[in-house]
Amino acid sequence: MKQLFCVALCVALAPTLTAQRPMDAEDVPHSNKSMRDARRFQQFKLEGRDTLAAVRRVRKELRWHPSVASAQRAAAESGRPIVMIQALGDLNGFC
Amino acid sequence: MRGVSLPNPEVLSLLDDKFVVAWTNIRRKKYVGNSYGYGLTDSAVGTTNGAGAHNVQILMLSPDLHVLHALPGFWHPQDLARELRLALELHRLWRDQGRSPEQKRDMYRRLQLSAVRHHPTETFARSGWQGFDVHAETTKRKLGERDTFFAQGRVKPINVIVHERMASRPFQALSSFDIESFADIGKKFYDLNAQVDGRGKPFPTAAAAAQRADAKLYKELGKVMKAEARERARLGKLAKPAKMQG
Repeated sequence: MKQLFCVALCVALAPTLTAQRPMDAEDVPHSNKSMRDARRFQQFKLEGRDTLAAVRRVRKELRWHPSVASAQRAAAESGRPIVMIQALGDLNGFC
Repeated sequence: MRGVSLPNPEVLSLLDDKFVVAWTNIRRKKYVGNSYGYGLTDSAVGTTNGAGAHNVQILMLSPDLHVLHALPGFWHPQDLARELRLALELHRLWRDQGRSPEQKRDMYRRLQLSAVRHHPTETFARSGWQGFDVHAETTKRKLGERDTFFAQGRVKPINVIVHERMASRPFQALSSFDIESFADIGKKFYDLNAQVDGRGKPFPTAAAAAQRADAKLYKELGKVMKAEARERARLGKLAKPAKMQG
C-alpha cells in the first residue's frame, strides 16, 4: 500500500517537477509544417494603405497614454495592469 | 508591431478590455538599438518572435509598477495574445493577499518556466533566430557566458530565453528592471523594411548610441582575441621542446 502511494505521488508530481526545470535542446518540439508556416509568415507583407488603416484602428480603439505616469494613474483607478510598448519611434509617426 | 500584431482582433480586444495601454519612444535611451523609421503608409512585414529586441520592448506592469512580464521585439499576434493572458494570470498572483512575497516569487518562477513548456510547436517555430543575430550572439559568447545557448551548443528559441530571463526576475520593480540586459538578444541594428520600402528616416541619436555600444563590444572582443593569440603562442612555445625530445 505504501509503495502504491509513493508511485502515485511521483506520477502526480512529475509534471510540476519537470515544469520547474529549464528546457534542454531535446525538449524543443519540432514539426516541418510549423517551420513552413513560420517561414511563410516571414514573407507576409501588408501594403502601405492597409498599414495605415491598421494603425488607425489601433489608435482609434485603444486609449494610448503617452507616459508611464499617465498610464499609472489610469491603472490605479481601474485596477487594470499596464501594457507599455516602448519603441524606437512613434505610434502615429515614423517607427 | 503596430501594423501586424496590435491590429489583430484578439490582441486588440484583450488590450481594450483588460489593460491600460501606453506607448513611449525610446530613441534617447542608452539601451536603444538602431533602425530606420517608416511612415504610416509604408509596408508592415511579418518576422520572427523577438526580432528587433533592442528597438521594441513590451512591458506588462502592475498598477504599482512592478514588471509582471516582458517581451523583447516583435511577437506574432497569436503568441502575443497568449503572453498577454499570462500577464493577467501573473497580475492575479501579484494581487493575491493570501500569499507571502516569497511564495509569490516562487510561484512566479514556476509559472514562467511552465508556460514555455506548454507553448505549441508553432510558437517554437516562430521563435527561431535569424542568421545575422546568431552571428552577433556567437561573437558575444566569446566575451563571456551567455544564457542564449543550450548546454549542447545550439541557440535556444527566443520564447525559451524570454521565459527563462523573466523567471529570474520575479515581480521586479520597473525602476530596478534592467531592460538593457533583458533585451540583449542578437544585433543592435534591425531593419527589415529596408528590403521592401528602401531606407527610411534615420534616428541619429539611436544610431550614435548603437555605434558606441558596437565599438565597445568590438574593443572588448579585440582584447579577448589578443589574449587568446598570446596563450596559443605560449602553448606553442611549450610544445616545441617536447616535440624535439620525442
